[in-house]
Amino acid sequence: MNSQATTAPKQAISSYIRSHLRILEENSSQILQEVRATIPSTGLMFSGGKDSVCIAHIAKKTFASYDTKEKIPFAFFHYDSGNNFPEVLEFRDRFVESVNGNLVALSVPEFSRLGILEERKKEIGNISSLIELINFSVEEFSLKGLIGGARRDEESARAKERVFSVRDEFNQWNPKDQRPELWSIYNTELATGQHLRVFPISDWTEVDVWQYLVSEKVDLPSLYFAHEREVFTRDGVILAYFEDTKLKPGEKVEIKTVRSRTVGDKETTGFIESEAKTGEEVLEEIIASNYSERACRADDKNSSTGMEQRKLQGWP
Amino acid sequence: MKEKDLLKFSTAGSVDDGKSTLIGRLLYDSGSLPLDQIEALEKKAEHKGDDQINLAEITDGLKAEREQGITIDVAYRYFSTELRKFIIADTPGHLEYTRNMVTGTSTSDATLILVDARNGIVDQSRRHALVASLLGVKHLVVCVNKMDLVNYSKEVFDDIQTKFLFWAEQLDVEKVSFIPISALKGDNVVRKSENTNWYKGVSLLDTLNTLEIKDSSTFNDLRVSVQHVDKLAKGSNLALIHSLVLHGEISQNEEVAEVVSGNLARVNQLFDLNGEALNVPAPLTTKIVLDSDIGVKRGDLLAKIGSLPKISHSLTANVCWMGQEPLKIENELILQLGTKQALAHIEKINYVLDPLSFNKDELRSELRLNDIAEVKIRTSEIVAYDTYKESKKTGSFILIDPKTKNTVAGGMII
Repeated sequence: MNSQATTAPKQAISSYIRSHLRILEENSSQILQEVRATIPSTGLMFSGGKDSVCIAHIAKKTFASYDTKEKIPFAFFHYDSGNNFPEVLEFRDRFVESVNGNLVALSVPEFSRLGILEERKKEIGNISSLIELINFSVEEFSLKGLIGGARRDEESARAKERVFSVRDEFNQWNPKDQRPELWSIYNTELATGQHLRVFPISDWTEVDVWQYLVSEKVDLPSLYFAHEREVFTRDGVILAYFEDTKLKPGEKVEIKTVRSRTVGDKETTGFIESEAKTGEEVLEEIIASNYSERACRADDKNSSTGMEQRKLQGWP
Repeated sequence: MKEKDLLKFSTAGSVDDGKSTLIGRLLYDSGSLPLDQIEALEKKAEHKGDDQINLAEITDGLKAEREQGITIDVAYRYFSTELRKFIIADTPGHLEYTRNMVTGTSTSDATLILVDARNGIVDQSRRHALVASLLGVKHLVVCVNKMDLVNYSKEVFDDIQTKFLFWAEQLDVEKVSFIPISALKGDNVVRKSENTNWYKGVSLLDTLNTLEIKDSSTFNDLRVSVQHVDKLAKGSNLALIHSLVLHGEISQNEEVAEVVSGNLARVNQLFDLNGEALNVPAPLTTKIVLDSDIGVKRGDLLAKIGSLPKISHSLTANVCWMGQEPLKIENELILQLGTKQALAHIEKINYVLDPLSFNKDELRSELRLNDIAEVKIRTSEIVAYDTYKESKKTGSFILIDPKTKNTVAGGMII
């Protein structure tokens, strides 16, 4: 009659492995391993933002070798608008160094100076420089895979994208003819000119990412936590003020305690007023609040088809 | 932090039976919808002069779809309760998108079937139920929608239930639940409605909250699928085997077999994502060091002597054809079963199933888009497998067109 005593810990283990975070982590790890095993020459998009940090952390655990110092088998690609927060760039460098990774930092101003982007735009038409930079890097580095941190809960166009998403020779996504993606069997075969964008955390929500990063004690850029900053408000969005910011009539600079829910371009990354100084506190705030993180990005506010348009052009 | 489990379910329904509205309602009423999205929808409603937001717009993602007013592809949606994280695979209802329905249903623990109370069981509902049953979904939840338009009539509901159950006897599902709802008005979606006092069951959300999640627990034979093999060090013949525990549990010191070669080795060291481990259960990823080099490579399956899977050159399977081009017998294909790939061709089409009448057409020489058929497949190499009934993981495969590299079929081994 001792069976009770021996089954109890088993049950604890089985409830732990069934927990949603563990399952999400394992699925993402499986996806990263499939990428490594089957797609030659893959880049990992890394901005220093929490989603890319989440993927990089899972990659670190997935490819840990325990006796040899194995590196993450993907180069870290950062596409810099030239308008990044300095603390995020510093974090990016620190993180990549800590995992002994290779950083490929490509910046829009630099490529504009060289005339490369302008040349391409003449051929393709008006397209965002950042998207064009991503497309350029795929060709220049002959990438067959590019791993991104997009999540399906972020936006309605993303909600329909596959985990392994095929891009044609023009870097375009064809939402009307996606490969069926059945069970956990991933077809990574490529026809000539195609490459794959891979989204290992497709099924995670913003809350999942925070819960995971907090429970794994993963470091993030300081922008994510409450700090005092000079800000101004434009169209209802709190934006960071810098010396070269051009204010419109009626806008005034204030000092507020804020944090950001996303990290991106200095001019469009919105802040929210917050006192949350730690991961746990941020998590509490997110669960209590109800604002989706994209609402804090000035670039998406204009149109509900903004993301779809960008995706068609090659946005990850 | 609170641990939740994860339930995946798919939805299926006809164009006008309010599927998108229902999902919108679930997200809206369970408080899972971000405020800014609600605001955007309210603004739109105001603009059009509507008094209520259009719940269906929450899930109808792509511009092309909004213009046509239909759902083309699978859209994944997420919401959480205190107990569970839910992943909804929202699939299109049109016949021509059966393949998208199969995609969305392949990973689901349950399927919601929407029935318009005014129309009763229609062909779409039957096709959806059949696909769910073929894909091994154990639990069907039939939501009889638009009850507000039939005065919340118990008779209408009972009639639909009786007819569906009579028909569903031919299906292989464990449990069918019926819930009278109005997605538009919210009856019995999140909370029980006073408009249906005669209904003794619980609301849809409570049904989802308490559904039993069945996975690998019923099939416990060890199955480990090899994803990638790294040599441990230069000169060493030992390797780190990156793999996935699909079923059962792998333990240190136990003997495992590479199924096709029959080679045996002992597990020397085991790791999970958090470091060295004594044993690693399904459904986790693992890294294995064996005590001798038995030539394990990507695509191999590890199991235990005494509970080995089947091996063969020849498989019989139900397939759903998803290619735009019809399949002709003898066309060369790539079969991918887990991480294993082999060249293959369809040797014989046993029959094509009519998803409504269950009639079997045994005279077909090709498969067309959205056909569901039983076929015999010949592979160029021996593959290891279980039946789909035993395991969704070792009993399922996809077929890839070697020219276009597109996935052209999903298959379930019989």
